[in-house]
Amino acid sequence: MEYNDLYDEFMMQEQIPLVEPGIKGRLELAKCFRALARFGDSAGECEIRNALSRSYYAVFHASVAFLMAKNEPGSKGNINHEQLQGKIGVILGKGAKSTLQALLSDRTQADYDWNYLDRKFQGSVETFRAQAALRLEVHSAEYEAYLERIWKIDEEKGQARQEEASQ
Amino acid sequence: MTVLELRDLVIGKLRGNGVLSALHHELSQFLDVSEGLFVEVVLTDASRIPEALRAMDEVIVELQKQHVSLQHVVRAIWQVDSVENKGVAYGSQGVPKSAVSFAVRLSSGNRQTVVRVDVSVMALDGLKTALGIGEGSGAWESVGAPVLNSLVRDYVEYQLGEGGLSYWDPIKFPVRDLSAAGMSYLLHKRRESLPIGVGPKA
Repeated sequence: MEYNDLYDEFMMQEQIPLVEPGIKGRLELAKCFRALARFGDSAGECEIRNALSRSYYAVFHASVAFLMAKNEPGSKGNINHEQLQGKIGVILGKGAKSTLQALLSDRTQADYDWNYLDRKFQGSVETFRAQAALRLEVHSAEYEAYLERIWKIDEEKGQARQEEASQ
Repeated sequence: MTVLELRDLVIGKLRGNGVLSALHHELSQFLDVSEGLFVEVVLTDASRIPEALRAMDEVIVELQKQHVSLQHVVRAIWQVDSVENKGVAYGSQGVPKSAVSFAVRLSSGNRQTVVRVDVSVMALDGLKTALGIGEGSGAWESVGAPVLNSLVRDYVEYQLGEGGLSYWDPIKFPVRDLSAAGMSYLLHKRRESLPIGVGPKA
């Protein structure tokens, strides 16, 4: 089962933070990019590059949605990569920040480093494909972790509302 | 104040309080974000937290003189030593919960503690479905119970892995609840290594 299917179930529950259009919009965009973050066994260089780039942006939008769900100041406006890394460093620690930096590096190479295939993989698309598949697994785990964190915030808010209602 | 100056100040105070040797340099961080300065001091030994807090109090006093505000976290790295099923979980008033309780022993340098993880019945149902184990099945003891133990370990390790302002202090907050949603996530992460598993809700 794809994590996006779990995500769909989650979204269908229409729980608390997701009714905020900004968060929902971010998550929809994250999901849409995540769906494009894949390639087939015979994928060429451009498809692989595109998957890595879209994959980073899926994590980018999921992590911004997480900050929004936590009501982090400044998360509802435009936020650049460095600002995001700084905020994630504060909220989740250095490990999460470093991971975001590494994912951005994947995306930067995919989008801008025109000579990457020759320089890093001696022109072998097969090697690039294998390496990119491993990187996509890391991206995917990070994407899922952000969704899980949002899910947890949602549960906590739901519990707090229930407690409030029962008092 | 620059981040480097802040780092030097914090390191100096940690050294002055005799706790620098317990600093985890890789995970500790010094940041200048839009809300101001932020320091996360991560220790390899939770028994040294009081000295580190004292050092940070001294840092804050110095910064106040310069009208600089600082957010900070002092935490320790913990490891899971053991996980034990303790049976039916009870709430704070002694009332049974719809959950199974686990005692999880943790250690961090010279400090040990025990936390409780209550796994909800709905989370257990999710696990049984994923493993294809029905009610009263003999496979539960041989297959399900060890998987559940390892998932509780995963859960605690995952919670302990969060740093920054989201860190979990297992001494201050020794009870965690593993819900159905949390179980779905853990099962998804472990889908390749489940003994019978076909993944959550497949």
